[in-house]
Amino acid sequence: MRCKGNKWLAGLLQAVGILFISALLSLIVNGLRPDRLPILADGTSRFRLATDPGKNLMVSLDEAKKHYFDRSAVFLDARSPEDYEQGHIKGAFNLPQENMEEKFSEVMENIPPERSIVVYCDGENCRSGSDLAVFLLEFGFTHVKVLVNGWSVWQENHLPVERNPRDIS
Amino acid sequence: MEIVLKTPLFFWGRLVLGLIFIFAAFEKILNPADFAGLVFNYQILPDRLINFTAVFLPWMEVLLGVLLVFGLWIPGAVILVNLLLLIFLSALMFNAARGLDIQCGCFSTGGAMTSHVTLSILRDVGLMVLALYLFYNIFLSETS
Repeated sequence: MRCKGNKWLAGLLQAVGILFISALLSLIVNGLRPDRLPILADGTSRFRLATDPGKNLMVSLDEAKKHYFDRSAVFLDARSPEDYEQGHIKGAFNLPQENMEEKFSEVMENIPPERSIVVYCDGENCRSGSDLAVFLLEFGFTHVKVLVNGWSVWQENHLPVERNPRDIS
Repeated sequence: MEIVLKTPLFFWGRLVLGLIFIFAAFEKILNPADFAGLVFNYQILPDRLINFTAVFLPWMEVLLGVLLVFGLWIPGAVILVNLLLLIFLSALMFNAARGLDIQCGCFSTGGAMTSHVTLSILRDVGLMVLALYLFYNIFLSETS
């Protein structure tokens, strides 16, 4: 029994030691690398899916689907024009970062600020969608949501898409 | 170090689990910013803990993996491996239950890999079984 107790104690002490060494190691390496992350700062503005505390910009696929089939939201594609041409959510408008200035008024002029908007890009971590959403919120649009990894999940669920055969070369 | 030289199954168990942990941490250490995005997507941790978690977690995985592979500090490593896998599994199931379709971020930080949450959960359960076997051998079995 004594031996067993020692084993638990040793295990717990080792566990604490491992946590300590990991923390030390990770902080040292992070401090040394040029692309270090600010450890204590709230670095999440880079992901920009939550703006005000408690306000989550993410929309689930089910909600997005409901919006889509009720036609209660405008869908905006934040990917590049090339990606958009190759295929996009049916009825979505393209509002890419690169030619935001020229496209913005063209796409957004007929959309009232209180209209629901669903923004998407492709890939779990693509930032263009959330960047666009934050931009729209700052611009005064009030109901903006992001469908994370939108293009992929939309296709995976066999929802309506539009493809432009001319541009697939 | 009598623990290290247990049954062959124990030896291979800790070796495999250790290598998986090292492998899993590799890409996260290379791209901490991307991994932070994945941690953020889980929508579980408060914003201020995201960066620290993204920096710390992969190194903990590496250290645990190395200890398991080399048979050092096995009781402590096994406790933490079990704890970690339990946390991962809970986080996955929690988000699956609330219908959040996010990437696992278990082994890669890329966005190209399509994620299947059920598959991730099953994989985690598999690792958990292995980890629990090690735990049982060290702390609970008669011969330990």
